[in-house]
Amino acid sequence: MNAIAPATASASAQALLRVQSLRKSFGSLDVLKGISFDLQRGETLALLGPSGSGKSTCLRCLNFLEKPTEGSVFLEDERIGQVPDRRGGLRLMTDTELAPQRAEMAMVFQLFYLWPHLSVRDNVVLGPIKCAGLSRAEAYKLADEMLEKVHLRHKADEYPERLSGGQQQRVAIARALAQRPKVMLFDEPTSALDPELVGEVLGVIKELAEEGRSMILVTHEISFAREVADRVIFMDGGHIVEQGTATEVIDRPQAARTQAFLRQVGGHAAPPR
Amino acid sequence: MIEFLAIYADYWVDWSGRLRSAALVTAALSLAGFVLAALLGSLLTWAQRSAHRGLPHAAGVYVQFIRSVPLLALLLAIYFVLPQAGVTLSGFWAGVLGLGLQGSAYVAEILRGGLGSVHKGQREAGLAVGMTPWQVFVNVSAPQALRVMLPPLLNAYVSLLKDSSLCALIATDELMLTARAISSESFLPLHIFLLVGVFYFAIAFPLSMLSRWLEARLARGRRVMGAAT
Amino acid sequence: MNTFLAIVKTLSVGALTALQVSVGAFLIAALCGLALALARTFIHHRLVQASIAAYSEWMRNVPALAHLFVLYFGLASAGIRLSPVTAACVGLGLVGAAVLCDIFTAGLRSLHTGQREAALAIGLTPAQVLRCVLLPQMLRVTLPSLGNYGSQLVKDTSIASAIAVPEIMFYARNLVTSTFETTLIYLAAMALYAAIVLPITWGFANVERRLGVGR
Repeated sequence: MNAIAPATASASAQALLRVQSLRKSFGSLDVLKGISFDLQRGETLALLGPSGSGKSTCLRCLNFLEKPTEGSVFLEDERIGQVPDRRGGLRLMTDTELAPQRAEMAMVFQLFYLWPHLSVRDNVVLGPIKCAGLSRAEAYKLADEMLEKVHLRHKADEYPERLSGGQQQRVAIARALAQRPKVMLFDEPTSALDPELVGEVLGVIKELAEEGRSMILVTHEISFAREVADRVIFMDGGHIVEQGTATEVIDRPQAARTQAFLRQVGGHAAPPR
Repeated sequence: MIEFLAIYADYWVDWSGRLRSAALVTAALSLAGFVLAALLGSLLTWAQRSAHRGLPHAAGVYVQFIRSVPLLALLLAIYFVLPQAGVTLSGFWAGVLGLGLQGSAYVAEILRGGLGSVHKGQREAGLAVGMTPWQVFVNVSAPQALRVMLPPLLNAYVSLLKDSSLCALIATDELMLTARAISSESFLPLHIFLLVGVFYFAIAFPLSMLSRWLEARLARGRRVMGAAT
Repeated sequence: MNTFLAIVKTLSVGALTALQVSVGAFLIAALCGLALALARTFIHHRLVQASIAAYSEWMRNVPALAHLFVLYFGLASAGIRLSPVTAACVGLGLVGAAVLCDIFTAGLRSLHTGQREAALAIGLTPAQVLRCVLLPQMLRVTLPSLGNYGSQLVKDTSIASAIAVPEIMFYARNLVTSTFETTLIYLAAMALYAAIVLPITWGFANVERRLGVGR
């Protein structure tokens, strides 16, 4: 399986996010076996693949919620999650050291993870107040803007338990937007939703993509990925099997494994040429 | 039955006065013991989760020991053995120490349950937003954990309150000792011991009911824990 | 070391009494507790429910020591003389009945109602349903709590020393006044309790593991 050759030096220098040779093992189980890719500014990248392919793990390594066993992540040329140690090598940052870096990257989780003891508005403002140092007034204004963006401003005083799954996920997106992040990471944002609620969340994500935000989207929604993503990476067994533009990978998959996966998932695989 | 109750009328003024001041001692004793238990229990929980080598093991050994020994043995040991090492505590403070040591194991378990009840994903979301682990603890974990821990903590206090009666056996001037004194003076053990039971009941019962009410309220409000509906 | 062993030997006599009281109290607690729990779960009569609740609340909000004093000193003054061991068994047993009543009630409630209905639908009588379906499952579910109660009960027998039951603490305090080896004596007493309680705790944990309780 060949991964596409890494981008040239000049293109890399402009890339927003650079991932190099990411490896992750859980004990004797190798989940990521050397992942490298770039994300350009304003680009929407979709990570597709079967369960167990490592795509979620890969995403979680980007903000170091999982600590990679090997490899590097750079955001705007700043190394994420690792600092030089006394012996000239690198050591992992502690969660306290990582906090400012994580604040620049926002993550939306499959199970939303809204904080149940806080209202919708308080969920959104907590980050800006505690991490970006905004005043309460500024943060509330920002929260209202972001909630407006996800069409939930009218629910600002509700508590998460009174909202549907789709609404909760949209609040989670508003919370992520309030970080004013450089890159947004979506970890299967609709996989835990009832089918009729998926559309409202995908609609919001589409609007964000059209605004030109830099996003990485791990998803099972193939047609959505084709519609919204600029580039697609197909992963399997911890490797990148194929990458290219959305139409390239989804309509005209080159590798046999990609073809098999798309055929299995159904709905959008075009017959191989 | 009427004659039985009539005796109370004769002795009420004397007995109720003495029992009421003794009740204050019992309250102070159990509160102090509870505060100590809470402090030690927090320390214990921190040790159990610590990354420092040996601390979790030491904490485990301490808990095993405390939980396999009766409170009375602990109290007698503190009251009679410590003086041999030069530390002489009054009945009251020996009681506070004993109650605190025993309660700490109980409180540590409650703390563990409370912190464990907060879904891991909530902490992850906190970290992902850019909060430090301490900020996550203060703003996300602790508020939720406290809500869960309140009913069992109330129950723990009621337990401590009842256990404080054992301090009578190390000469602490609390409710039970006062009742025994009255019993030997008046030769009315049935009356006085039932009455002292009523005194304990009057303090413990409202707290037990409060704990149960809080628990029911908590159960009603908990549907979503940051997971899908 | 020899003194320590001699002390342990003396205290062991008390240990036997402690176990005696524990077993006696446990039996009373288990039988009465089960009866109360069954009544609470299946008899929906207001007076019955209220009486059981009142009994449970009284027993659980008043210290065990008070209950023992009432039974030993209190009843004696009214002409009913119970031996120390009897008073201890009854007293701890009655308190335990309230505790186990709560545990068993919760256990029965946690069983799916469908279990009972399915059993009745097969044609089992209510008594058979109880015996063959509900009680075995209830016992499995409540095993951890029963284990906790058991080990706590053994420790609580120390309270009985206050009504002259010749168990461990009773012997310990007598030894202290006759010899003066305070430290060794109380250390020996604690070691003895640990030696009894820890195996009980481990034993229950073992059985729980084998039965797969706590899923």
